[in-house]
Amino acid sequence: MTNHRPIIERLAELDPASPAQIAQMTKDAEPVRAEIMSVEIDELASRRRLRSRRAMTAVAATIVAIGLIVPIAILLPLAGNDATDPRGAGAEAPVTASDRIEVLSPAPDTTVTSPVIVSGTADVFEATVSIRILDGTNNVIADTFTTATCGSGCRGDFEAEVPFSVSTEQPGVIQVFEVSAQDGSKINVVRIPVTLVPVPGGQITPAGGPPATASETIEVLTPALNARVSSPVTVSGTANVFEATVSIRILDGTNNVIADTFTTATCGSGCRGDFEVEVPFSVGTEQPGVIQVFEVSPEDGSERHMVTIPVTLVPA
Amino acid sequence: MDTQRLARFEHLWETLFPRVLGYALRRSDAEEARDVTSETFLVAWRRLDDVPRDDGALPWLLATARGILANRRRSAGHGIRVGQLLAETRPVTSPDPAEAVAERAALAAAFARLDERDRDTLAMIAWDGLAPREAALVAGCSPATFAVRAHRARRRLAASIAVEDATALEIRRELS
Repeated sequence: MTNHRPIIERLAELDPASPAQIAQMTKDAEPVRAEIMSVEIDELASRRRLRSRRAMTAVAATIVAIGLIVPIAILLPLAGNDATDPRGAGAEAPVTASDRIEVLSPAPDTTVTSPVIVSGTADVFEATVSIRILDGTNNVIADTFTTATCGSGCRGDFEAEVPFSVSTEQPGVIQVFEVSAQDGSKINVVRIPVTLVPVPGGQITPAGGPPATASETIEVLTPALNARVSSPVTVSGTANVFEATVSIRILDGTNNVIADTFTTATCGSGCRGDFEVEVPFSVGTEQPGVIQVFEVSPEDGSERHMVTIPVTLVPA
Repeated sequence: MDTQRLARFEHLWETLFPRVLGYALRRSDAEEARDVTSETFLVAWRRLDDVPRDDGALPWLLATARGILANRRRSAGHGIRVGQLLAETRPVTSPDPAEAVAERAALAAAFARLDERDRDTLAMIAWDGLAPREAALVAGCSPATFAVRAHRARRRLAASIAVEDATALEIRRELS
């Protein structure tokens, strides 16, 4: 087939949103406009009226979750942390975005384990994004910062892996904010209520760390911990990693790398996909080994979200 | 109520509601698109002072819609589905219907083979009608980065079309 028209022009004809559909839905949305304009500014409850019956269920669940967390936040003020927040003191509700900071992950009311990936976009002074995690009693259990890809007038992306430690499952809050260049106060505070869950067997650490079948973004389903494996070993699981690329390495009993490969998950860069790959290796004798599954950071090439599976390597 | 505020919101709604709705429709089903667009304009109403004037308003609204969609997708456990409804796209008129059908099928299949980011990048240009500078604001990257993404996405779509061409040719033969 020969078609010399520009690709974009041809693609434009496949637009799944037809003008007729857009026009009709715009017309149908007229009552919503009036409803929105009747909303008092900052009256969060008004959001509920705008959503469909299906979405109402989700909102109700959110409100219940907030109801559990807010009393704690009110009864135990954040030690003056929010006194300078221009958005107002107290954590009335999850706020995934302030004027200058938008948090894309984790989503409000999700369950997180250490290390939690906090990511989003920000336009903050010197691109410095501060992150804190507060536990169920409002103690600061993590306090760190990261650098956005752009700042002081332009919006950049940020992503930080924040380790924390809790002994029991509990509600918590992740705060992302800017430290004011004027007076050092916290400004543009974003609050994400979450459930903090302890990692079984301790905190996951990079290569050489304790065994774990799952990190925040990679979950390995096979092989199981301490399984006996022979070549080729099938490594499978789910992952939400940059460009869906999952890296896999096998170390033998003396920590030599005896296999080093990668595979592509069915989805990535923001969505979770499945992966499965057969990794051949060769050992002369039965010995302990480790299978590492990880993501290579697009920023600096470092290895992150490492999952370490101790296994017994058996000659084929 | 501040009449200037009311007038400004009215203007935003009149001029940009269809654009935001279109953006959402290309990435979700009709019901969700309606909810996402309503929610986007609620955010705009509450933060009207933050909505840039003139040309900056559309990227701001689309970036907000994008964030709302992403939050919903994360809750639902899957990614943004750009153009997943391609199979149901409206028909195009052509002097040669058989050729048009084959061409559309090949292009749709080639587009569907791209990864999500490439589809989103091309959709912002071809369907949402955004200039590269605006699309970069929506995607949250620099214009230079977006230009590189768009160039690569076009190249990958062209390569994907080449793969589909043989199939499309067969379809055309069958139809003729």
